Amino acid sequence: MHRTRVCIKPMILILVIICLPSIAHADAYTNALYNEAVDLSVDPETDVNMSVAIQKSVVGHGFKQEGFQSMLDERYHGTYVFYKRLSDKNRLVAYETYRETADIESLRLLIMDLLVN
Amino acid sequence: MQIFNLTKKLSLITFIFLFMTTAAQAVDVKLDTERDSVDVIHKDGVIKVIRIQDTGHRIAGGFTKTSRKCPPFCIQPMVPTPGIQPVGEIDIFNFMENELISGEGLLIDARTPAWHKKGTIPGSVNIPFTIFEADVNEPALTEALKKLGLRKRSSVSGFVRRLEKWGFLNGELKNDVYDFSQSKDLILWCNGPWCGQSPRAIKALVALGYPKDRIRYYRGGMQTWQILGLTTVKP
Repeated sequence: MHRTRVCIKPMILILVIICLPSIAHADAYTNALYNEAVDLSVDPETDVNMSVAIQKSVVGHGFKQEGFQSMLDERYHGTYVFYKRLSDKNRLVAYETYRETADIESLRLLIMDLLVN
Repeated sequence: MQIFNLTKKLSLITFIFLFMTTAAQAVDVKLDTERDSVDVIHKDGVIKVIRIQDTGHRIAGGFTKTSRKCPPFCIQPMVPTPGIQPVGEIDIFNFMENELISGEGLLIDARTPAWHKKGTIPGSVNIPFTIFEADVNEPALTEALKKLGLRKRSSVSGFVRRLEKWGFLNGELKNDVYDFSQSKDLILWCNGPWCGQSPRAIKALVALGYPKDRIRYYRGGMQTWQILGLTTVKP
């Protein structure tokens, strides 16, 4: 038992020594990446101003109905909760409206309207 | 009467000339023979990807460097690992117009956040390669793989796996850990031909069992994107 304990410590030390270079290598790469990124910039002529690009809160157009539902669930979960309570027919109405407008505000209003009426 | 007809012809010719020159000057530097631009959904907005129209423009910024130390910034092979298809800018534009819109695809910026925040390709999501290389139980990896459409399988018995392998149960696109049947089409990219970040991400995904035919590699990355004067966006 005593001999086993004596053997374990050197084994652990050997294991650490073997693993250290790979750990150091991984850190060296990420450090090099970080250092290279610090002074870097993209060409400002290519950079688009996001606040200008967003003209309205676009839901994301072009989805099929299933994709539209997943997207609503992921990005606008509150709206999705109400959407789920719609009948199949009204869900289709909401989806068709989304295809035309792709605007979350008008979609929300429509969903609430369909729920209430 | 002859003068009137001549005037009419001249007006028509002038009109056609003006129309053609106006149309030609609308976009001098197109994306390709078919497209002036591509609209991409980026977060909650739509970005129009175009090229810089100034034909005298020279690129500025960090991507003008020709020589970074190798290692670590070594030139990468066209194919990061066997079975992975490399793609170019036209493929990216098509991807933006199809798979990104339908939600069936993801354009992944596989660089670390320090790079990503300097500017990215519109439509991209940032999942650093370090996440893909993380331990399989790491929450960040689980979260990232969910975005890719992977579902973690609850403990699957050896018996069920055997039935799947023998074809009695549908085991296609499944391994012991993940169900890849809903996995998305991916294009991964990083800084360009001298960058190893997206190749590492791709290798890690393949090691996890991700279907190779659903992974593509944009080797040109931000370097080529910049050289072509294409739109970037800061997150």
